[in-house]
Amino acid sequence: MIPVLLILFPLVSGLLSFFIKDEKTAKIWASFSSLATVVVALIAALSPADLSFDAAWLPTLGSRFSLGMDGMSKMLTLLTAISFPLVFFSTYKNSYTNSNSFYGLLLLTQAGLMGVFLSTDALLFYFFWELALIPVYFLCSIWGGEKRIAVTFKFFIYTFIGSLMMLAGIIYLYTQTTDASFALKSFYNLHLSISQQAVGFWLFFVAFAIKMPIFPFHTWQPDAYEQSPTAVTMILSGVMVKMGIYAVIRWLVPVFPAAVSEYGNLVIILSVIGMLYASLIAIRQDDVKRLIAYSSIAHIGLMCAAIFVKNNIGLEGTMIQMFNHGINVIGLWIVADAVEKQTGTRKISELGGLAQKAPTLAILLVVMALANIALPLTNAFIGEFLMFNGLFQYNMVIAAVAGVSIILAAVYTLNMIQRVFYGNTVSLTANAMESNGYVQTTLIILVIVVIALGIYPQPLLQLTKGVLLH
Amino acid sequence: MQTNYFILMHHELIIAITIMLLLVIKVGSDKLSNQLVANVTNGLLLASLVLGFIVQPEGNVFGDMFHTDGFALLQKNILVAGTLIISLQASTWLKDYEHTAEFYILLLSTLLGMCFMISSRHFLMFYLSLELSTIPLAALANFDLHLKRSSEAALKLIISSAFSSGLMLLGISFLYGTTGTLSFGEVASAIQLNTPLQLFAFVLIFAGFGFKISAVPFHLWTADVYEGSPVAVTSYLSVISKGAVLFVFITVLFNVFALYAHSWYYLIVIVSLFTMVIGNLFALRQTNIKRFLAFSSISQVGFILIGLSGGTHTSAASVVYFIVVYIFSNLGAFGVIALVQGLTGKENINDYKGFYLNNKMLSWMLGIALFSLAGIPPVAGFFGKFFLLLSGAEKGAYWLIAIAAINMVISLYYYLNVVKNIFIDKSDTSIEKLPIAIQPRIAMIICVIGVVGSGLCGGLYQYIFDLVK
Repeated sequence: MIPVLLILFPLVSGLLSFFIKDEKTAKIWASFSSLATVVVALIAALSPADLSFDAAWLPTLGSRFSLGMDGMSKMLTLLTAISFPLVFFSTYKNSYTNSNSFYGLLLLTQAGLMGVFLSTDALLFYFFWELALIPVYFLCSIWGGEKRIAVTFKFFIYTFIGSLMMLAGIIYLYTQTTDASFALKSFYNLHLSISQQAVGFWLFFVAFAIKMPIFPFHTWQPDAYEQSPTAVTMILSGVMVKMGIYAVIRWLVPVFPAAVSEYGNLVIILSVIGMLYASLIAIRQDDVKRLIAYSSIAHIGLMCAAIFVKNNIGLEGTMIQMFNHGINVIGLWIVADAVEKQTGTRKISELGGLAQKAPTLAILLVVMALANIALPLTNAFIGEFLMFNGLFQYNMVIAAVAGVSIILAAVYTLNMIQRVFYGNTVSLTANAMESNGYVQTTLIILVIVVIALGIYPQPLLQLTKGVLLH
Repeated sequence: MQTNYFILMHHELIIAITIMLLLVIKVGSDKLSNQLVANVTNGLLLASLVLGFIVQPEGNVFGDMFHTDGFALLQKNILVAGTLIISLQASTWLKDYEHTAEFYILLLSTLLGMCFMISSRHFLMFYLSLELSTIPLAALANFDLHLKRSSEAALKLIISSAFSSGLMLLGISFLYGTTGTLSFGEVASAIQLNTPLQLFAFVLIFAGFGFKISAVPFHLWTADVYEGSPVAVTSYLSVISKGAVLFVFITVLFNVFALYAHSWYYLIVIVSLFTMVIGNLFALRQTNIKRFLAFSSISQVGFILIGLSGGTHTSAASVVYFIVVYIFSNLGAFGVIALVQGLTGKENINDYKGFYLNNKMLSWMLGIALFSLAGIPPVAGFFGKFFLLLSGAEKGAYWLIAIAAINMVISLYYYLNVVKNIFIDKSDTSIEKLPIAIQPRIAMIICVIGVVGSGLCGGLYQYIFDLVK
């Protein structure tokens, strides 16, 4: 029953949110209902056994409303559950027109995300996959920046093309199953020839690659991150991109093993190209939001590559990095938003000396930034270490090339910190102040998580142990 | 035996009685209240609908010309429900209209024709009921009496209908010539493979159907007629009339021409491809929202044809399910358009800029309906399309699914464009808050429940599937 609650809580509270008139009530409602979801997700994560739920849905078609929760699902639902209150809390002082709809749509997104991480039926999975997307379309195009309409259109059409390819793939697999079923298990038991696997593999992979995004399917992402309201960007980059990675681990690699061996190398090379490419572009960015967006592409590239090396170390690294990247990138967005709130600009070239005016914010940013470049003692270190280790075992040259991105990450991140926070104050930062208590509290919570998981990553490793290949 | 007739034909009888009643009311009183006429009709339609679900007889009458069973009753119920929704939506438009009674008489006459058509098991019966359902429609299309374009629409509709009926009649006579019978069952068993004349007859009959469901290349009348007709009639044409013809099409294809399945499979696939693509490409360019929905409905027919190409029970179930979903979605959209057009006279897509600002309820209704038409989960349109594609995939035509998927992306673009106009764009001249009377409000609630509910509850598809068997 717990998996159902994880979907039901945000769904119902999201729908109810539309009927709240007052802005403050809407905020409080969203915060508290999302905290309730956290409690449920924690209970699920702490329960030792795998959880599941199964009910009849479309019996003639062999599609069931079946949800399952193994370690990876537990971890990702926990991430989804935690990130929403963090987002609500850190943007508590932001004001939105029609805030009831804003929060309602965000909660609906959460319901969709939960469903994606829980479904063990392909049709249900597709259903939630799309459900998570539609509210985001409205969120971005109503509350986004100046160029929001064109950007959101591109984003939506892009991901929809991917989704439809996946749908075609699902139908294809369904017609191949012996028991005419959409269940994940039936897909695992398929005996497909190599050419059949190739077709299915690419249909699924493109959908997931667009979502992650992997080079060369990434062009929607920096624009979408830049133009979305910050709360939505946090969700997009913190949780939503994990849909793609999760889907690769759950729906792609086990279903098409032969095709993964066949094309894995190509995907790894694409991912590594993407890492370097995105890192190089990030160095040239003047806009803080775009910088974080490109840095995110680089990180995702590494995670994707580490899945396709097909060894347990890489996979383990990817799984815990999914959680850690979510935490870190949300932290970075919060800082970016705080800087913009204080100075009215996101341009690095127009900023400087912010640390003199807002020392606490500067310290918090530095911790988040160090986590972004995966310094030891931060949570990201252990994940990146495992992933590079896995990549190294697969192919030394590729690992070495990918390793360059670590250096590049240090270059753009430290450069950003230095130019935004240190040096002399300029006209825009002269009157800046510390950001409000909500932002600071959220960041402090995040910093604690970053350091705690950096020193003691065991809980995450323990949680995801069961998903590893045998 | 006598009572059996009444029970088997209860849909048709109630509709016929309603028509008589309206005639008596019209003749009997000079000053009749439009509201009364509407209420009488709606009440009796509702009664027919309820009865349709409770009393489920099965049997033949008129020397096996008329056949009814659970599946036929379901189809009739769907049509009656759709007509009821349209009638509720039309009340704003008809409130001050001088010919309300005539409107309902004509509307119900076509419905009567469709009910008979669904039950017909004989080409003669089929042809007669087809004409009964078409000719009053032309009169209805002309119901905006002061508008020239309305007359133009009626003329186009009647000419193209007459032409398509002519083709169909020629096909039927060839069929009679080669088999010596017109009964569906006997024709089916008398048909032989490799008889050119029979194949030709089939193509002619297919063309006739193609006109009625506006499949490409028989679609040219659609846009002008849809644009010129009053909105209520347009929605009736696009949903109910198409639905009814498609129901019969299933019977004719799957039962009568079952032997030719191999031939008509390719015919349907090709027609469906063209219908999807051309409908979509034209819809992209439209600025008038009625024309826009006309072309989008053409492309929807393309999807339905994909479902039909499967040729199994699953295909029939998926088509019927899609038509249910389509009725709710399209009527939801047309309901809002009817309201806007009736109260402000505006019918361009640009006029909907900033619509959300003053009309939240209507905007959500239209938005949900358009998302459903685009086939995006969680609304029912997705499941409708999904079942159609699934049944198309049964014969292994994956390339067809791929092309359909591409078309879904194209259609998403134009549906989203309207959604964008409603929710996101700002305008200084956005439409004021519109008052919604009680009847359209009820219709809207039914549509919303239908669009959301028929997707989420899997039971509906199961119900249809069981009836098809």
